[in-house]
Amino acid sequence: MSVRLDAVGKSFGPTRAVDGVTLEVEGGELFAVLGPSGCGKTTLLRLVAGFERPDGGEVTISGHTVAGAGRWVAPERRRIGMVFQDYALFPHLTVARNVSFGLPRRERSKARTALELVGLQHKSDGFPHQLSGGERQRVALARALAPEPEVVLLDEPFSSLDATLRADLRREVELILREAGATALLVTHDQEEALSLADRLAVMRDGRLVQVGRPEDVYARPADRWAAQFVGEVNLLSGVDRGGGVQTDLGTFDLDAGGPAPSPGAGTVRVAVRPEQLELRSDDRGNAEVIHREFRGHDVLYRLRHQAGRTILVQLPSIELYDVGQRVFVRPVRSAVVPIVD
Amino acid sequence: MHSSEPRPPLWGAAALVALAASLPLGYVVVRAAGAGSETWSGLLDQRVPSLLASTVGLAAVVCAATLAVGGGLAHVMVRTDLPARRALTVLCALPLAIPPYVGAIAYADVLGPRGGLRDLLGVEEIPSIFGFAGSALVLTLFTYPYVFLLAAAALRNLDPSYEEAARGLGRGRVRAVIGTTARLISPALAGGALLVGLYVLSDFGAVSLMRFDTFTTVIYAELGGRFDPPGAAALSSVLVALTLLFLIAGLRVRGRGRFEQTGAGFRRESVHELGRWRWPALAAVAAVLGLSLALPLARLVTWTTDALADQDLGELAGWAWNSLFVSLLAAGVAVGCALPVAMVMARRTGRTGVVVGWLAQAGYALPGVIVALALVAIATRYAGPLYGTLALLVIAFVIRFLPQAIQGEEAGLQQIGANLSEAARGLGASRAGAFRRVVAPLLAPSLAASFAVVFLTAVKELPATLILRPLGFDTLPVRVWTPARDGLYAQAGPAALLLVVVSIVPLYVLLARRRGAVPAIG
Repeated sequence: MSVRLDAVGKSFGPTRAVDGVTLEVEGGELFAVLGPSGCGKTTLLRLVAGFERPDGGEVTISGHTVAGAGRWVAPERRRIGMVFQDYALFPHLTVARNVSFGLPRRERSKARTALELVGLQHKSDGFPHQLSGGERQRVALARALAPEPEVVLLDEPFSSLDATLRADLRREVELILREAGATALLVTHDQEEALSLADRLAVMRDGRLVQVGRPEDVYARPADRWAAQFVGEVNLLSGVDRGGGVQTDLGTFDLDAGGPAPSPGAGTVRVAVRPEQLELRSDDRGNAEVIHREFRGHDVLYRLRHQAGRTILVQLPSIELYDVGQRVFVRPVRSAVVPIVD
Repeated sequence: MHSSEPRPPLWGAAALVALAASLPLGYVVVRAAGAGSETWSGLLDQRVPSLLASTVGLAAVVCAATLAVGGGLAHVMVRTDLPARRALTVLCALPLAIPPYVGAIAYADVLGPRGGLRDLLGVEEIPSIFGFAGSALVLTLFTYPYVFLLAAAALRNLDPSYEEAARGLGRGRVRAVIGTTARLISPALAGGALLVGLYVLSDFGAVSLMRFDTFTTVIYAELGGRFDPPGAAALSSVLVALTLLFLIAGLRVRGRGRFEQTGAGFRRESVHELGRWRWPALAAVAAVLGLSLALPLARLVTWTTDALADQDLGELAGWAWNSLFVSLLAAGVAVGCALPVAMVMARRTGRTGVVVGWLAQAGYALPGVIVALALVAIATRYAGPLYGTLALLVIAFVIRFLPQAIQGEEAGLQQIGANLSEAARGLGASRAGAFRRVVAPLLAPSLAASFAVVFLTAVKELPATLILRPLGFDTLPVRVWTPARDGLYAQAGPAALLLVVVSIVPLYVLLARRRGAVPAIG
């Protein structure tokens, strides 16, 4: 119940879609690959599924090499369960027949169990076109889970659902996968999805993995400037390293001890400050002005113009509101610990 | 989305089909290249210029006329409040069930020198229908549905807000329709005109009965009476070149005018109120339907009732059976041969796939006369025993009509997409299992439609049947054309009527399946 990729590469013509990727998904883990569209994450998934042959490297599922080192295992023999972006439900089969598609005849009863797991046993005689988007998604998941695969592969599973449904289904899918004890590899371009769902995630860019780690670590200590900006919002501030603290225009931040050490001799460093690591107070002679306010309900994202000219993002709970045009004083929250990024 | 490469056996099958389908084309090219400068200069001096003028002229006039008739009917049927337009829409497509050469005998009789119109007018003589005018009239009346069906489908899918926007910007109704709507559906109009033009270039039956010389009739004569194979091959190569030019030009026009519709898929009915134009419009529609349906059918029915007493019904049934047998066989083989080609094409695997697809569809550029001529030559030289057998006729039909089957099946496969068979394989199905359990059931409607299209065109096919049929193997088209060629139109009646009836069944299947599905050239 594990997946390992070792220096796997795949090119389409001159494009290196996947470029020497090495990663390991452990048994029972929910692993997300996060990257912008076109970064090669779907190709990565298809390499694991066996819909693409790698140019180099090795793919291993539960200790068996399925691609590479002169071996090739056809997709139907890999014991994978795939959930496609558009679900790919068979339109000519009922929900029950869809779910039992991958089961041998004598194990058809497992289809019922799988449908119960996703709570759709009452729809088993319906056809895919009679279902709502969320129901289709759950059927696709039940179909993938029914044959008890070694690993479940999910390709942007929530992208064709509308936003209100997405958060609910995300929770539900996570619960279903955990209840089934499945090992899952999910690819997505949605950072919120990856951060909230995955036990660990990998950030992918231009066919390469930029960073692998737990969501909280990837968020708190991005590997580079690009990763910092892609995973959430960030202020990149330059400052002077004063040994343990970095002094910037906005004040002094504590330096994250786990991050990369500042290069010796270089006094100036760049730190990644998340919008929630800053706070505001109303001040007529403050150091910044509110130029935009994005009200999100439980919190508010402010865009400020700092007196030095740069734009600063600040996220605050929506308890106290500041108006556009208001003069404010912006400073680090007391507990802010920030990483150095290149 | 990238898809896995087709496995070698599939490629092999597709390549084999492509090779076989392009044999006649290869023969024509080789033979024409080897015809020698004497043959060529003789042809180019005398025959080719006049044949080019007559054939191209006929194709141009018929294209223009079908665009006017078919486009106009489509607009009236889809976008106006004409009374009974639903029923009339079905009737407008029905002339496709009447082969142009069957229409030709009705018109040769009614408008001929001793015909019904002369009696009706009580005059000594009326202008001869034979020649260019009669050919153009008959071909227009029985091929305009190609334009009509494509244009009507495009109009139904068109968001009327474009036209409304044009009117909102100050264009009058007529200018909005012609300037905006016609422009937006120009790919469909071009597609329809392309089918009509290809049909006219390949037509043998109607022009031969209208005693008008085009490439096909002259090639047929060279092959039969004068027996000059090199001359026939050289003329064939000119006709094939002409057809290819037309095909390329048509596809380019169709492609250039293709617009992406932005906005949601929601479509309102937008209907122009005809007002006082209501009755003139209805009269115009009635006139077209009268000329293309009522008149020929009435003539066939009266001939049949007159002749039924003398007609040997067993003989008639025999011709019908022969027609059915050879057409069903051809349709089955064509649908089967098209499958590997369509699968290779649907997977969009680079240049080789494109070449295989084009070669396999060589039949588009090969009029029936030429396929027959090439197969006769190839069979007599390399496969003697095949000559004069039913198998050779079926091969000719398959080569000729393979493109229709390929296009239908490829469109079907595109709709299914690669995802579903990948999903099946991810769930443990082998390639064959995924095809059997998922692709095949979903492809079945496309296969059935392809079968119906090939059957519909094969059952009407005339020139290849005349040249390749085994001794004594009479089909309905043969028994229509042979007496009609000698001016005995009434004798052709029963076979012609039966042929129309047989054609209506597959046509109905196609029209019912999807409004706007077009049975391609025949």
